[in-house]
Amino acid sequence: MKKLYTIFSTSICVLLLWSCAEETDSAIGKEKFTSIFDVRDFNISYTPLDIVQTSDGGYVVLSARPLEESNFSYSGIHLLKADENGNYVSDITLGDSLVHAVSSLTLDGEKLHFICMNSQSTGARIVSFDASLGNITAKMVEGLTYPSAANYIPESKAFALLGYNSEDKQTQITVANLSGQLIKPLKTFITGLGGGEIIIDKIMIEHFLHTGRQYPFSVGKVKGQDIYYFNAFVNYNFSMGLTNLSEDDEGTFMFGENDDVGFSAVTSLGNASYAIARFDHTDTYLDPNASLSPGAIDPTEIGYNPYPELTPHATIKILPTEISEKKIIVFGSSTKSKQIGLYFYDQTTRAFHTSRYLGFSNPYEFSSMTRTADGGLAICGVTYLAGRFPRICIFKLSEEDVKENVVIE
Amino acid sequence: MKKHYLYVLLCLFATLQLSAQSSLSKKKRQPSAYNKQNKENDQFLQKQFWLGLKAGTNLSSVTIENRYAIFSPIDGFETPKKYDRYKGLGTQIALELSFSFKGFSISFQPTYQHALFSYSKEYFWGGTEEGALSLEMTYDHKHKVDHLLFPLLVKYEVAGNKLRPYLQAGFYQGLRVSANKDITIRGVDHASGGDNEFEKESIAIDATNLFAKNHWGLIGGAGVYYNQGNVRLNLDIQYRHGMSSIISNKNRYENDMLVGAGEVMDDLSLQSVSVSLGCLFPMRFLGTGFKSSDRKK
Repeated sequence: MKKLYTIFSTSICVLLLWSCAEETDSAIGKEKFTSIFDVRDFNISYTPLDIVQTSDGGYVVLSARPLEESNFSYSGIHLLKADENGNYVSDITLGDSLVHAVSSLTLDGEKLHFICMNSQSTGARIVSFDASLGNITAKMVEGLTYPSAANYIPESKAFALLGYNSEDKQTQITVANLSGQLIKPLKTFITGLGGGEIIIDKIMIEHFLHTGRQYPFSVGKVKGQDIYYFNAFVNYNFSMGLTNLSEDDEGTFMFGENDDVGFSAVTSLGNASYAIARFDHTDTYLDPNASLSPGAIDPTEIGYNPYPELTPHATIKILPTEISEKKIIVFGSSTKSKQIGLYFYDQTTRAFHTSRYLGFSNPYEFSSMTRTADGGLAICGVTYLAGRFPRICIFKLSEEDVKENVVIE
Repeated sequence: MKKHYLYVLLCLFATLQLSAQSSLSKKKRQPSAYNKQNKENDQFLQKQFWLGLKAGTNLSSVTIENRYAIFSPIDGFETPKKYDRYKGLGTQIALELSFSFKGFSISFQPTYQHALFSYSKEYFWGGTEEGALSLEMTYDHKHKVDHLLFPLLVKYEVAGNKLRPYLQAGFYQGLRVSANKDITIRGVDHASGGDNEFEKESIAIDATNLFAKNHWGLIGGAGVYYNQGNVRLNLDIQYRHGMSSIISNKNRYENDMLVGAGEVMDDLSLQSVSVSLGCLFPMRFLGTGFKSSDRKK
């Protein structure tokens, strides 16, 4: 009988002590979430270009979307604001006069800025607005037309800019402050006159109209030096060049082969070190820390990690960051299996840490990514709902998730 | 996993039965212990341990505590999930250990519960003008979730002798064992030159981590004992009302396949109505001459 009393009373005590539910933590919704911004309109589509986290913890996504009546009918500009949990807050489609935004969304203080084009003059514009998508202003950038890439230089509070002169068939590079004034001379290089092996002007215009292949133009400032790198057409070849933007500088180049071989993404790590992604016809190569000396190296010899799983010519972004006190290079792109792929490399040793794939069931494509204030990672892309409706999506990974992708020895 | 817990329950039951039979053997070796038969008969029903097993079926429903969604509508149109109420038939098996005293009893009933619940979500894409291209899709979500419940109940036997109805109330602690989720996608495509009805291959995932490791709830119910010889046959009806979410807050977005399909679980509490049939055995004064229905009124 004693045994029964013991079993019975012990069971009850254990039950009473143990009776609690799993704790809920409201912060988890901010640390990790996935959002898809849907619209019931059958015909609308969005192509996200960039994402930033705002000071209120929310997110702003810059996208391209079709315009009903415009010469640039596929190049309209859409801005979306989401809160810190990824819920829709507001959105705005800019008018017909501003088109073809380039992936350059930047937060500077309380203001956000990006570069786009005036549809009438084809001149570059710096668009500024606040985190609630209000107070939108557009300032003209002197002399730069058909903006194709931009990169913010925080120390100068200015954008390094890449453009195209359609009349003279020239690639343009300059630096402009947030008021649109050039703080460096406008430097030009010949893209190729008339029709060479490839017709530069045709493919450039199709790029701006969003009716043809989207080329991975890029531009930026070499860390610690007054030199600028750019990735653009020079002498019929999609090439990487370096220039100090002075009038007499002829530039040094790592020439590609027409539009078959070249760089998909370039980020300066300081001196001659770059994190690069390179394409060779339909092959893609990643290198987290390549030593480049334009003019001295054949571009086909760099980029030691082939990635046959990546979609040829898909958008690739490079994010140099620090995870678990290690310098890490994160590559983001789209896979042939219609997922977003993230690849984590050690910047110092070039060692591959791990890969992370996002998106199942529906097709997903990568657009951009940014580190968040809580140590996480926000990735924006496009998903095709029901396999056909392109919609903006955000994946927010927690700091814990991000750290899991870096091997600690 | 399911089998593992069943073995534990059965082993515990067998151990207690052996313990009881051992006590009985000792009593048989001392027949003088039965001399005061009437007095002990009273004691039998005044103060008694009962051990038994019961099993049956349940119908479950869920209540939304907090809504979560992957889809965030830009145009403000959102169709909420439609939850089915008490639709899928589940099962349960329980071990019952009760201590009764003057019509009241306190009962501990470790239960293995297999519950089913489901919901659907509709999507629509189309134009505003008449005859515009459109696509309708419905995602049907079916869940099978197994919990090990540890209910603690107080019972009151209302009246009767051979047939003894009772009321019961208490609470339980639930421990997640396993869970599965099936998603079936069907729709009508009005954009392909006709009305094309289609159904995609269903998605089946192990959803165990999406459910909270533990939860708790309250129990109310009624039942009836039928005293047959030394044993009690039992028809038991319980309503279990979850007081905390059965969904894991931490792992809500952890299943990439589910998130990729645009699905995330709401915070849900589980309600179940169960009907069980069982049998209880007395643990004291078990003898051939005694009938549990012999109690003097």
